[in-house]
Amino acid sequence: MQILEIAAPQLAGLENTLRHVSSTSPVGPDLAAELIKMENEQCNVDFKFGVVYCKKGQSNQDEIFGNGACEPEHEGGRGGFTENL
Amino acid sequence: MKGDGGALLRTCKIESSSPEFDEFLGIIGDRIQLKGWTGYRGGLSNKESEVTGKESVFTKFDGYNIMFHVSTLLPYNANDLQQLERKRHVGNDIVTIVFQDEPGILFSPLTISSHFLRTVRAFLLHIFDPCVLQISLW
Repeated sequence: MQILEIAAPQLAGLENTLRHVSSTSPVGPDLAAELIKMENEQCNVDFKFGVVYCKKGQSNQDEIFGNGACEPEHEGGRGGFTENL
Repeated sequence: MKGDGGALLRTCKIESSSPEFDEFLGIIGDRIQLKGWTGYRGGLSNKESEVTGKESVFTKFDGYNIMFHVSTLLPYNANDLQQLERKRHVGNDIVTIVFQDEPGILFSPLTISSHFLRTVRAFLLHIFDPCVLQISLW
């Protein structure tokens, strides 16, 4: 661990994770899984983006967020609507 | 009666978000059912008790998991003018894609108030245009 600190000070944050890995599973099949888990925690592979639907002439965010009110998936918006048919 | 209701609902769906928008969603990712979804959720819930919509759009790109918060797929609340259930997801995204159905007035990035939103991309889809997708960047 000290060697790591000297050789690669930028990895200082990994120290606790590495200690955790070595103490929970020194050898064995779990080690590979732990390493993969650690790698996934260090590299961000997950992203979320917003997608909004804007109709012609809409320039107000409340209008834009109100689009798609009648989609079948939105039970709340359709409840009263289907009863009238 | 049930059949008629379905037809009417479909019409309503077309009116509320156009086939072009659905086509666009098909280009950027796959429709997934949130219930029981085991992949990356991007803040959306896969439990029935916590409703964040039934479906969403997800894709894997170059090893990255990407979940899209699609405004029309997030829960709609008729009593909430601000649609906070939608805004709380989209407003916390750093990048948002704005799909403009028809090229009308130019979309202003200031339209959506957010402390997080940094980039807005607007897409204009012209079906009769040989250049299918026009992308405006800010």
